[in-house]
Amino acid sequence: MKTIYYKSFVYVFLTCQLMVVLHTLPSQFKFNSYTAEILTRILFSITKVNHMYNFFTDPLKTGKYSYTTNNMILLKSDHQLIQEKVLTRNGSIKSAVHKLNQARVSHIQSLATRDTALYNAVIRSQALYFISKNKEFPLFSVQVLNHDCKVLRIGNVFSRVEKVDTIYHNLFSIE
Amino acid sequence: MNFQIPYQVKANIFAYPSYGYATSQFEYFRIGIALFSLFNFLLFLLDYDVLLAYNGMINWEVTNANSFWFEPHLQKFTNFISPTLLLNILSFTYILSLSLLAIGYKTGITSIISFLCFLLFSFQLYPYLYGVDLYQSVLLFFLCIFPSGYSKSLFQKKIKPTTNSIQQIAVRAIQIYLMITYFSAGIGKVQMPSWLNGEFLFLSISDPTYQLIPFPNYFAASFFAISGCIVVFMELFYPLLIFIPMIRSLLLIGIVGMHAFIVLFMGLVPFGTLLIIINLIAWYPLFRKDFITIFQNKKS
Repeated sequence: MKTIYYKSFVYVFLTCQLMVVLHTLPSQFKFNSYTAEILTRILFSITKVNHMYNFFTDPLKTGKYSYTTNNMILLKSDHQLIQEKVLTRNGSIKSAVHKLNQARVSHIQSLATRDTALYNAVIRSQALYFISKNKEFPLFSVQVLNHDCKVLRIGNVFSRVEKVDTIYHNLFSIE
Repeated sequence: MNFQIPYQVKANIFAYPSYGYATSQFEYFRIGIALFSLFNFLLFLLDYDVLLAYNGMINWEVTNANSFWFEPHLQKFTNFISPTLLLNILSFTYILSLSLLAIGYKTGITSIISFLCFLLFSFQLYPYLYGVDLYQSVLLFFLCIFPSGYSKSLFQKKIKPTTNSIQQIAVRAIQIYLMITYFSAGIGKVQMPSWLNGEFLFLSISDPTYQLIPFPNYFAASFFAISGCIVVFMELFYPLLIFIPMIRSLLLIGIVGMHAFIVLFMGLVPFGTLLIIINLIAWYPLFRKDFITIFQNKKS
């Protein structure tokens, strides 16, 4: 008898998963009730199923490929010369963390294309962090680039062609 | 030709409960998930100052500002306790509960504590999280719901008579969850022509923000096209191929190979590792059965 409860749970859980796959949850539901919205948020905060399948850089499945890079530089003036310290490598802040954690930080800059308000807060926090760790460099420069990629096929070999646009550029200082 | 479908369409998902099930399988799942979660958290500890600390690269205030009022972000507790002390207590609790979960001590309570600690960290760390953490959250959630037993525990206890049948339900849930996951990934990719002609695979491998070990660039376009088609085929037909003897073992080898590739060349180390662990635990009884069949055929 007890197994019925477990089976019911599995049916509900897997139905939720399938509904996510079929794009019927949660944004397609227009919740009018504030309470229902909050209950849904709590449920998905716990199970996180609503984020489960958003792995692709191309959610519209058009097959286009793009990625975002950033260049972060700390600057200081020294006897009328500008000295710089480059913080990024291969377009991301990988060098700040251990090799095994690189994937966790290499896409933060893509927030600039997805959630500008959050990115503005994140980049301010990053500026504060790097300036406070390198006190001799009072100025922090950041440039975020979007790379729209296309493949050029010559014979049986692929090569990449990119259209690069600057989507964010800013300077920060603590003062 | 007598073609027999091993899993009747009319049957519900809990039919043939012994298919792909072995005694202690859910215990191996518990041990695997607990050890993986420890590994995943220890990676965060390697960059404590950058990723975890209050004034790290993304300040707690930033993520707290983006959280809902009911989400227990760590920043909300800093009025009562210092952030560093709070982080240390939480880290210690998480590591302790995962270690106890792995060795099988009070698995019900320790899995709930582990899951809650993970949730607390996830509110603070969400800009750094990706697919692997979402999988981990769901799998820890399964451990909170289903009893994992004590036969492989260092603290052996007598289990209830129903535990075995509940564990069969749990294993079936994990197996179907994997099927849905791969199928949805496959259906996403098959809609993109660039996956079938190899262009998407080529671009994602040559994306400099991903790379851990750079993939050699002298491979022919046909290599990427064939590999792309194989990936789409494996993912799309995963829920069917897993029922065909021998083919299912080839599928598993292919899936493990694909995730090993992701680990090496795309740098998604925890993601690839977790998916390899889950696939092996979910399907090893079938893999073992195929292996025994091959061995017996050779002998006779």
